[in-house]
Order: sequence, then structure tokens, then C-alpha cells
Amino acid sequence: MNEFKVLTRDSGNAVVMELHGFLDAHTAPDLEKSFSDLIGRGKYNIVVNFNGLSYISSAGLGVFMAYIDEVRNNHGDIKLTNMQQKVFNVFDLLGFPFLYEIYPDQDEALKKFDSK
Amino acid sequence: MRISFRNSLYFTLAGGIAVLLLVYDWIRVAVNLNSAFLTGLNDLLSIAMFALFYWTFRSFLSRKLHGPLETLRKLVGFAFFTAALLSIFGILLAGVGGEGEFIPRNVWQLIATTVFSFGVAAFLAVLLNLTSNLMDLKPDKRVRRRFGLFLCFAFAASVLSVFKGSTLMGTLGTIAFVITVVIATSHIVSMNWIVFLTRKEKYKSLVHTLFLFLLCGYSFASAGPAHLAGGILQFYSGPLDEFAKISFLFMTIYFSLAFVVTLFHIPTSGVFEKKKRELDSYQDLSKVITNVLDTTEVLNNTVTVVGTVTQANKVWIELRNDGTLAGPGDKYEISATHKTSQYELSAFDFSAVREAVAARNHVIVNDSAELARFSLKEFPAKSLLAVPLTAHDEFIGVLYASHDMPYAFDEEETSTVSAFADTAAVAIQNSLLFTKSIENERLQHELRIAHEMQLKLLPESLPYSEKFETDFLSFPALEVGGDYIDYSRIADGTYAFVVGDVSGKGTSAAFYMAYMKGVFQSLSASLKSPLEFMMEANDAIENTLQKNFFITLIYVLLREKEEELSIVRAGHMPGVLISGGVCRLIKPAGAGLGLEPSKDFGKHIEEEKICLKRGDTLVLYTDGVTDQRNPEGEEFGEERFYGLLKETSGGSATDIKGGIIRALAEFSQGTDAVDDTTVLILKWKGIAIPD
Repeated sequence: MNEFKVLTRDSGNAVVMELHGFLDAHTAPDLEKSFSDLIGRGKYNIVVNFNGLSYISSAGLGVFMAYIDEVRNNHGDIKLTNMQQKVFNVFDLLGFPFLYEIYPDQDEALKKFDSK
Repeated sequence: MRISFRNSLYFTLAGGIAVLLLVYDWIRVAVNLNSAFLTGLNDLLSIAMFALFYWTFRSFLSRKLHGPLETLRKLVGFAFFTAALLSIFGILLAGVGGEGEFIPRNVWQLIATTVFSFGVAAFLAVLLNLTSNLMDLKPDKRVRRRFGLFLCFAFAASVLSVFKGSTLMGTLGTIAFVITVVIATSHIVSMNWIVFLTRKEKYKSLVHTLFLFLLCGYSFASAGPAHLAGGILQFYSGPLDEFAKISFLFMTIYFSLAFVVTLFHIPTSGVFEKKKRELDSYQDLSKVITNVLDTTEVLNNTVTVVGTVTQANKVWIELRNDGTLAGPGDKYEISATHKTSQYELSAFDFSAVREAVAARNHVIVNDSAELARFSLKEFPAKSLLAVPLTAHDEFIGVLYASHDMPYAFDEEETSTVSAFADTAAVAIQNSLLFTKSIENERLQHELRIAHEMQLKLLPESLPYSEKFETDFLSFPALEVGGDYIDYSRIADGTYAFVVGDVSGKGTSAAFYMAYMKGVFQSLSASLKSPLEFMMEANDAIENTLQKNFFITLIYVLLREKEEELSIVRAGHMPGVLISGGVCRLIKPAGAGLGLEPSKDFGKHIEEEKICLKRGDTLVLYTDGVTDQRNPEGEEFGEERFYGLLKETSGGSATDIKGGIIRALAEFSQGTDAVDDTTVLILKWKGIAIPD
């Protein structure tokens, strides 16, 4: 099983968060920590790049739910990009497309933040 | 007292010798006999008589060894009788000899001489035995062997002393005497018994040894040639007299030195007693600690023992309260106190001391100024000692002891307290582990109960009729899970079926599952439309769930009469409809419950209707099915699952269920399920066409 990893880097007025590996109940706290660090630094424009993520469980999905309200209340957003088909299917089944902007490409999401 | 055959034989032999010697002496005096051979024989026999006494008394005096004081008391008694014997006979036979050699004048005097000598030999044997016992109280084989040697050489020197005329014998006698003195000197240091006396016992010992010194000294002087008693003994047997003198001299010196040594040991007896007390307490504590598994009891015993043994006025233990990982954020709490209370101590912050202890073993605070440095200026003590409680290299807490006087704790006290702390720490940790294992067992038990309870929340069976049949399976991955399956008979021929999945698994998921059951059962009865149901359910759940939890649900309404299914899906896995050999996913839009506020949720949710055809099979499932892995880490997956359903859809609902269970078991090859697994199978038979 590939280890879960989060890489964050600033890009313009947004932050890109790259996810790698498996996101499940065991690794969800790592992602939670990354989110709370960003929010602690006042970064509310967040692009999550799922390119390296090969699996997500319901506990992993919960992490996005935990922070979305706070981010949006601060006029920011969490935009999801570059999902593999399998990961997208999970998000899609759950109805995440109703809740989040999901883009095939990271740059598209960044452009949205730029144009704000 | 039981006297053995051997002892009575010895004693009879000794008596026989005494009678023999009396007869010989009578003849000697009567006919003025003077044979060197007979004199030698007389001397040997008298020494043999003494030896017999010695062995007789040895066997029952050393049968049970008493304490040093008891032995000393007996010694004083016998020494007194010996001295009295020597005096009385001196008086009784006064005027018989006068200056120079003593020669009995008549039979009565002869008998008196014999009785006297017999008595002296017997008392001397007792005294020597008791002295040997005293030196032997702290058993040492060498002491006993050396005492035997001492007696042998003393005998030899005594016997040889008779032949003063012969140069060879004289020299040998001198050599034997010198060796006797050397051995006696080496014996004089056998005074271990004094060390182990308590202070009070030492005072008693002083009195006893003083008396013994005086009595033995008197006896020694009496046995000398200048005194009548000595003269009598000399007449009876020269060697016996010599031996008596050597023995009395030895005892005089020994007891005079014992007196001095006792005197010198009195000042140190306090320290010795304290050490002994510490050692005893240490043993007690070790005993208590190995037998007690109750943490509170171990802690209380430890503070009480330390409080009793050391100078400390107050003793308490601070333990890390989580008992797991050490770190700067750990919380500590006062866990046991002696002569103080948690309430009193709670006013002070010992963190500075604790950190110092954790960093460099123990901390000794000697006065108020140093206390202030640990921010304990107000603490009502002048000295403080803190030692770490370390078990298996892990720092688990601190043992504190305080005193009203400055400089109360020295290095020695510290090492004692540290020794207690080390033993206690291991015991504390053992008891904590024991408690934890009991707690674990309790939790296991609770989980088993929860498992049973959750099984009861699942339906025993699903409804069926002539027109449709149903079956289901549901296994939690852990003892309890978050999968939900249920049904409700809404009206005649109208049934609601539901399959759900609470995000996450385990206990928290199980609670939400139970909550979901409540929501479903209360809503499904009163609401007509599946859409209405979902919206109400989202309302009920949105405000209850934690933000990062959600529930996915698929709700199926079966109207038998209309031969129709209405399906709404809230983020759940799609329903699988196998109709006419074709597999179709029923996936109306809808977000998981608790993800969206109800106004948005209602905008997105859709309903799908299916007109049932004969043989149609609808399968609802949770992702535990498709997420099941095999030992290679491969997922069972949707393709395989849908393929399986297509293959088995010709059979009954129960057949399909059996096929799924077999396929999952075969695929997983014993790999544990990662998630709860639930499947509901609904097969529409329609109306049977009569043949």
C-alpha cells in the first residue's frame, strides 16, 4: 500500500495541496492537520490536486466536509482537481459535485481564484 | 529435656572415672604411692572426664541456640556457681593445706576434693560450651573448628605441663601453649554477636560481660597455686588445673574485650538499628509489592514505608496520569500522600522539581533559598527530596519527601529512598498494567454486548409475498459497524426497504446507525413519497452528525399492486437491477445525508421509478462488498460483483445471497474485511402464470 502524503505549495493567491497514496481512516488525521495548518495561516483559497491519490474512503471524504464551512465563511473555497476516474466516482456517488467545484485540471481551478 | 542414650553413657563414664580416681587417690594418700605411670594415667583420665562432660553438654546445649543475651545470662549464672564452688570449697577445706601443696588428710577430705574437682570440671565444660555457642551465634564453620583446635591444644599444653622436668616435653608443652594462645587470640575477635544487638540489648550485654569478666577473673585467680582451690585441683589432676586456668584466663580476656567492644558499639547502634529497620521495611515492601495488584494499595504502602523509615515529615507520590507516553505536555497528579494531603499539596506547583528530577535523577533541596529557586517559596518545609519513579526505563512519576529542618536529607537517605522508589515504580507499573488489562477485558465484554445489541437492530428477516422474495446479509468488519439495513411495511402491499452506510466504522458509526434506524422507522411510517422521506431524514441528520460524518442511504419503495419500485439515493452505492439478463445501475442524483443543508439537498435529490418485470432482481449493497480485498491486495470490485449478480440472477434471492457469500469467501481467502458488508436482494416474481 502506498503511503499517504500531502504536499502544499503556494500558487498566486491560492494554495495547492497535492495528495498522494491512500486516504482512509488511518491517514485522514494527516490531511486534517494539513487543512488546519493552512486555515491557521489564513489560507482559504485551496486547490486540492488528487492526481497522486489512488484510494479514498468515507473517513477521507469526511475531512473535506469538516473544513468547507469555515473556508467558505472566510470567502475562500476548496476546489478539487485532477481526480482519477475511480476517485471521482466515489465523490460523484456521494453527491460531492453538488457541494464542491471539481475540475479536471488544477490550472483551471487556480484561474477561478485569480479571477476573483 | 530428653537425654539420649549416648549422653547418659558419657555421664556414667565420667562418674565412673571420678569414682576410679577417688579410689586411686585414696590408695595414693594411704600408702603414699608415687608412680609416674599411675600419675600420668590419673591425669589422662581426669582430662578424659572433662572431655566427656564437654561432649555431653555440647550435645544438648547446642541443640537449640538462644539469642546472645539468653546465652550471656546462662553464662553469668554458671560463672557465678563456678566462682561460688571455688570459694566454698576453699572455705570448707581451709586449714588443710596451708602454704604449698595440698594433701587431703582423711577420707572425707578426699571425697570433698573429688566432688569439688568433679564440679569444677562440669561447670567449666558448661561455661566453655556456652562461650563457644556465643561466638557461634552468627554461624561460621571456621569459628567452631578453631574452638575445637583451641580445646585440643589447651589439653595438650595442660598434659605436657606435668612433665616440667623433661626438656623435650617442656618444649613441646610450651609450643602447645603458644599455639593455644594464638588460637585463643584469634577467637577473641569473634564478637559478631555484639553488632546485631539493639541499643537496649547492648546495655544489658555491658552488665553481663562485666560480671562475666569479674567472675571468670576470680575463678582464674582461685585456680592459681596461691589459692587453696588451685591446690585442690592441682592435687586432683595437674593438667586439669592447668586447663582450668587456661580456660578461665581465656574467658576473662574474652569477656573483658566483649565489654569494651560492646561499649564502643553503643554509639553506632542507632545507625545499625536504622539500617536494620530499613532493610526490614524494604523486605516488607517488596513482599507487599509482589502480592498486591491494586495500584492505590501499592502507592499507599510505598509512602507509608518511606515515611516510617526515613526522616521525612511528609511523603507523597506524583504520577503521570495517562500512564502511556512521556512528553512535555504530560499531566501529573498527586496519587498518594503520607502525613499530608492532596488538598494541601494542590496549592503548590512542583513542575520545576519534577523537570529537574526527570533530567538528572534525584533532587535534594536543603533550605528555603533553594526551595525558592524551584518556585516553592511558600512550601511549609525546609528540605525536600525528590527521586524519580522509573520502571523499565520509563519515567512514570516522582516520589517526594519533605522535612521541617534544613539539610535533612543526605546522600545515604537519598539512596535509601531511591531504592524504595525503584522497587515501588516497577510495582506501580505492574499494577497499572494489570488494571489496564482488566479494563481491556471489560471493554471487550462491552463490545461483545454492543455487538449483540446491534445484531438486534438488524431485521431478522425481510418481508416477502407471492409476488416477491427477499434476502440479505450484513457483517460488521469490527464488533460493531455502521452499515444499516431495514424495512418498513407502510401499507398493505407497500414496503420500504433501506440500505445505508455511516461514514467511518466502529463504535461511533454504530451509534449513528442506531440513530438512523430511529429516523427511518419514525419517518417511513408517516411519509408517502420517498423524496419526502429523504429530505426529512437529511433534516434530522444534518443537525445531529459531526461535520465530518455523513450517512449514505438508498431507499426503495415497493408497490406490489402497481408492480413498481421508487428509488431515491442519498450518496449511496447505486442499486443494481438485473432485468432480462441485462445489468443496469440505478443511480438517481442525491448527496449523502448530512452533507448539505436541506434546502440545497432538496434541489439535488431525484427519484427513479422502475416498472417491474417478472424475474427482475434489485440488489442494494454497501461498499464493503466491492472493497473486499484478496491477499494480493486486489479489490473485489464492481465489475466482478455485477458479473456475479448477472450470472446468479436466475436463482432465488437466497441462492443469489449464497453465491455472493461464496464468491467473497473464495476471493478474500481469509483476508479480513476492511469495511462492513451488507447486501439486500429483492426478486420480483410477478404473478405466477399457471401452466
